[in-house]
Amino acid sequence: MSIPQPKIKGHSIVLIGNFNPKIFQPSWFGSQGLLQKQEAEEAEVEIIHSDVAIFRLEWLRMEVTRERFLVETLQEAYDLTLRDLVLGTFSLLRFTPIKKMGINRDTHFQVDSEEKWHSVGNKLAPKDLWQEILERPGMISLTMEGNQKRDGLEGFIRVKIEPSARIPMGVFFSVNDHFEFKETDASVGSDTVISILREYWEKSYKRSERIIYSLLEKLL
Amino acid sequence: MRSQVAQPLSTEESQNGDGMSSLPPRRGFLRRFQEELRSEKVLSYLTDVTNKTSEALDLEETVPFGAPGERPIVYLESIYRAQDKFISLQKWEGVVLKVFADSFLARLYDLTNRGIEEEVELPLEEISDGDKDLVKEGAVFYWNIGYFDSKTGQRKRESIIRCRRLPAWRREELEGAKMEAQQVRDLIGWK
Repeated sequence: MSIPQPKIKGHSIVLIGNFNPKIFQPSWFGSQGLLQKQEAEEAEVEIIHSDVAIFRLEWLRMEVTRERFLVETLQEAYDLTLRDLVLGTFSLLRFTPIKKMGINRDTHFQVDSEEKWHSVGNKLAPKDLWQEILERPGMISLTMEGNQKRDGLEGFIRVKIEPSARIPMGVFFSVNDHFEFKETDASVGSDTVISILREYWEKSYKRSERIIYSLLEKLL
Repeated sequence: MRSQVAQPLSTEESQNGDGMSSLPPRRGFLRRFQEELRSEKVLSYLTDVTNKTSEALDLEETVPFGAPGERPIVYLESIYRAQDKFISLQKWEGVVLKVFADSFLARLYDLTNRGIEEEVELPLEEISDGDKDLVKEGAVFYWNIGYFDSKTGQRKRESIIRCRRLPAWRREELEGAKMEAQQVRDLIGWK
């Protein structure tokens, strides 16, 4: 049985902490050399406000509120650039308190028959239990979570599977690799996050791929 | 009085006239959205909600919002926009070894099939103008060949080279690296 090629791959990094959204504007990234000057100038700004900043480049979307920082791309060619952008940003803003981090990978696959597509839902959420309760029951979303402790840090891996909302007969996999940093730690600030992101990015990527492909093998 | 801001005031702020609420100012903007969220949270699909409140879950999740079952803290109405996508077929990390007049020599580390290294000479024309200044000895770049799917659905095979951009090393980082090197030297007894 052949494993289909992914149709869409998304990468994102989410940080939970305390941020000053006004800083996060394209011109700041351009002036710090973290983005190309021209792409910073041509960024599409949705909003820059003391409570929220959102802008887009051809390959990136950034959204920052006072509690949350998010960068994402749907272009796999820029996954390492996305990581470097976060490393560079918080190397400069190194006293930013950050307490949680998620390294996320989303992948959409298209299966070659409707029968296979339904069988994914049937294997993950057998319908026997639901047949008498609902008419034509179907799986909309399933999330599983496993604990993950690394370097003394709390965390978990959350895997979500859904029918793809983007492609017909598609299956959507999302892996959230979640790290928690102790708030009482003297090193609170972004230094810990930077070193964890440096060390675990690739491991996290490989694990996500392993999770997704081993599930696909079992489901198709 | 508070000066007019570009954002709509919440109902509570409007009724108070001066825009002040009992919430800290920074929460005011978010309040309206958080109020709206409460009734929707019961639909949460999450399986592990036993020891967490749904509000805490919304605030603490480190996944992007937007998928079914997830609700944002700030719900800014936005229209879904098709985006360009890229799927890599082959990716390398490269280090610039030498720069010539119109090309550069680089060592490539295969990131698709780990362990393979090779040296190549690439034309400088392959580098986008915004990155050309960064092409110096020791510079790191990422090279991807793959399928580019435009937002209009057109697929084409593309090569993308992007130089690594990181701030200069801080003095304490350099000191830390020196100390680490010294520790390794001491450990192996290298004088």
